[in-house]
Amino acid sequence: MKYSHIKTIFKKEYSTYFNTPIGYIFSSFFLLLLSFLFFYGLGGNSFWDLKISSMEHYFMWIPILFIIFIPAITMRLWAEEERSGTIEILLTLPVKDYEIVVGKFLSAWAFLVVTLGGSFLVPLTILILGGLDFGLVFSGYIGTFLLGGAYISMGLVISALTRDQITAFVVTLLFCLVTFLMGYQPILQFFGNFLGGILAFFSLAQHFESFRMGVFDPRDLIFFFSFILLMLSLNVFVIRGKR
Amino acid sequence: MLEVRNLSRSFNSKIAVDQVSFSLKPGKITGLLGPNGAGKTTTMRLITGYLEPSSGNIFYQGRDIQEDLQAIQRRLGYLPESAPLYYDMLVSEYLEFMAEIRDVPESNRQTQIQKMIEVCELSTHLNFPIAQLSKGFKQRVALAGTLIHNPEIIILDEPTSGLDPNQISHIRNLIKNLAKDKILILSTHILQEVEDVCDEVIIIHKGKIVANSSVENLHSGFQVLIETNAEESEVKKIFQNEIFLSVELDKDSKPKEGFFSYIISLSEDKPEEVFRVLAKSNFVVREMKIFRKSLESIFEELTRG
Repeated sequence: MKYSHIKTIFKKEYSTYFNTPIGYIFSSFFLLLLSFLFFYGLGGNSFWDLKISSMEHYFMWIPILFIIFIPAITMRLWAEEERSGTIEILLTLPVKDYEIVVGKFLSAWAFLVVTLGGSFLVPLTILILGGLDFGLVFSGYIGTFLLGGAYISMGLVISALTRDQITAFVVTLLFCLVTFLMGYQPILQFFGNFLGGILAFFSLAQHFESFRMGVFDPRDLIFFFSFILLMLSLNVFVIRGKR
Repeated sequence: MLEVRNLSRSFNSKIAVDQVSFSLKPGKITGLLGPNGAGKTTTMRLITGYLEPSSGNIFYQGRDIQEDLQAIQRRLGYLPESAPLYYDMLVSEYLEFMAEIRDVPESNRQTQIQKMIEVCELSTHLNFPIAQLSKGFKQRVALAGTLIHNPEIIILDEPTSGLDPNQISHIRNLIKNLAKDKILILSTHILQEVEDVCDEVIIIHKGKIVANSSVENLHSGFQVLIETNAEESEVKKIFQNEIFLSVELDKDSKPKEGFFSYIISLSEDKPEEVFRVLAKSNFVVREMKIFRKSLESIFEELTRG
């Protein structure tokens, strides 16, 4: 593995988010919507209704918003290379397939971190209004970061399987939705204990829950990392299949 | 030397390249010719490692390229058809990216980039987004990215398609200058380009090689044209020796004042045999010359059906 290759691919992909307006549009949209939902909410559980200086509900909205935001940042990664034909250049460079996959994955992940960095005003506001449990905030952000990484790795595989960005967006959105709903209580109750338990285990949102509650469980950490690793390997496999 | 041995590739049981073998030497420009869908692009993609062969091997300097693909790809420059580029990058960013990812050593990088800017005449548009460039410029940027690491093997898929005559001649001159000590293969369906640029030609049809020779040899094919007043049956009667493969009336020229043109094919390069036979006959002969087929007619013959 050559880090310089990963770095070069990373730089190229990362700068694309800032060379085109789509990156700015989606991160502003994501941050605005997230702050709006947290402060004004839907159905009486907004920050002002609850009158608790906690970010628990803030992190509750994140998996839901990720369902729209993540597909938007991953849809381009492979599908655009395929559509424009640059994939032929990329795959004949003296670079290993997994170096490209890792570079692309890290660029999207880094873009997510930058976007989340823009949300620092929310904990700051709460801190000013009345104390903040830093442990909860920290674990919430770690969970967000891992959940985002898992969704991105999934979106990357789907982008590699599709030829245009719109299809990649829609299919990734569907998959994110499914993995979210697999951890949704009413659905789990419908499937009963055994089947519901299995579904919940594979749901990304379910593993995010403990981070949101401030529980730092290594099992969840391992789950997210295994999921990401599995998806990246699958991606390399898909690219090899194209040859 | 690059050697392709019994190379085949199929897509979902449809054979695109079928048992193809040839070798390429440095310093020679080889034209890969064929109708659309003949397997030119697939052959090129196999050599670059973009596709893996279903069977067969490619050797470079005696080593199978699949053994260490990256090692070969480091010495190879490939310009795909229609010159794909990252449209949101600036020209300078693209060259920087290509130099970096192609492992051009950092100490040498700026010199190489500068050299490509000069060779491909890009200095006026370095800070333009690639999306805004004209087609000719895009082609040159793509070519600069292909050559930035000074590759030993250069593979160009239809490098002049869609360009205007000035741009075409610029790219062709560039290609001719490049080839001095490199293995260079280009695909095209412009026959004039082959005559203008290439030393060797490989014609491929339905995935198989139907001709592989120097451009010069492909033309000749040991034929003699004669113009005489004799009827076809009489001419056929005197050319009976086994060296004469066939005698045909030249369909392209009309009979003039009772004289007809015939094309006599020989099995060896001995046009004097035709003269010897004619000298013994009592035909009136107006013209006798070595007949050179046009590349168009050779191409048509080989790729018919």
